[in-house]
Amino acid sequence: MTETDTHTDGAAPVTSTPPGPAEVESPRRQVIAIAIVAFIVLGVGLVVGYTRASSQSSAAWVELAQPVEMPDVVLTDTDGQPYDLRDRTSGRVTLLYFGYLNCPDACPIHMAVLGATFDQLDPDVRAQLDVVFVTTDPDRDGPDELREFLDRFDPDFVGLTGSQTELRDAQIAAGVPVAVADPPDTNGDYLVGHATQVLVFDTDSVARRVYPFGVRQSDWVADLSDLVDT
Amino acid sequence: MKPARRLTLIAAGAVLAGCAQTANAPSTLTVDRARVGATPAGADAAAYFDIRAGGDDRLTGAVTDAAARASLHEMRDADGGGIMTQVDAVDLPAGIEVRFEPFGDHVMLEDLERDLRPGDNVTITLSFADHASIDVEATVVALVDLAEENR
Repeated sequence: MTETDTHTDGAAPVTSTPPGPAEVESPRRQVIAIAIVAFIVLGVGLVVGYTRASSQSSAAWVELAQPVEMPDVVLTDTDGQPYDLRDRTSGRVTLLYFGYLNCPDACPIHMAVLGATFDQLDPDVRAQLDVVFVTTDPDRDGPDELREFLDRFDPDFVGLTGSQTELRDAQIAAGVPVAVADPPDTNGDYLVGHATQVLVFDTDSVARRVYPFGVRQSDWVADLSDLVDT
Repeated sequence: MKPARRLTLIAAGAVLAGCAQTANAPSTLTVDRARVGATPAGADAAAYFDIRAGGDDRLTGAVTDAAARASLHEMRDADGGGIMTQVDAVDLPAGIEVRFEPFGDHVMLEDLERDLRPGDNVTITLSFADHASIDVEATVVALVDLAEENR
């Protein structure tokens, strides 16, 4: 519409010889034309901005000041097989989470919301996404326990365990606070402090954003649909 | 002037102490919105609620009919996220609503003895430093709903 407006303006002074429409216009008309164009550009910008905001930014995530590369570690999956984390997730959008099965709050809520989200996602989108849950409590969370836990939410979620050293290395590489096991209580139970954010790795194996907590299903559905190429 | 002022302060202090003593006996304490995340038997669940104590108090423990043990967990800020830590007690400042909520403080119900399905009820007995123990009926809610209530 911008073009049509200026063209009709320029076409008005038919009388004079070809000096080009802009030059014939009085300065005042130029100012008006510029104002109209500016107004339209601003309007278009606002609409684009609004659409981007509503479809892309859920405001549920936090941009990482320092992007993080996918940890280059080989862990053990729920079949007891080696799982080369960087290799296996390369070219895919990967949601990486460190947690443990005796965690009653953040871990199952995150996984439940992601499970419900995956149920809602378009199959094409879903096919390009992985959820990888890495335990920070390898002494209690073996491959079978991990599988049982994750099957509550989605049988496709990947569960990984490893040695204490491997898992510590993975957490350091991912830039999350390393989980620390509290001393066991009289029942031999112990709590494992752990990071509660989900790291989202793009197809280039770099994480640029994290989802700290309390992310709604609708936010995940919108954001994940935007993060993969369809 | 100085001695007079001191006397006034002492008098005020005596009045305050007197108030605290009388208020202590029947101190009010309310627990609202008690809920537990749906969790299968054998796993650990989290219970949440809002507590408001009339006088300064502390939540010192919990037991439940649904699990062998229950413990208090507090979310503490940490670099790049929160760290969940087990604590012996949670402070309940007078007149302040203390919210136990998803991704925050909660009571952990360890090693559930039965499946907790949305709509079920769980009895949790909370004990306090000053106030008598309170039995709370918590409603079981879906985990996804717990995420929705946040923010």
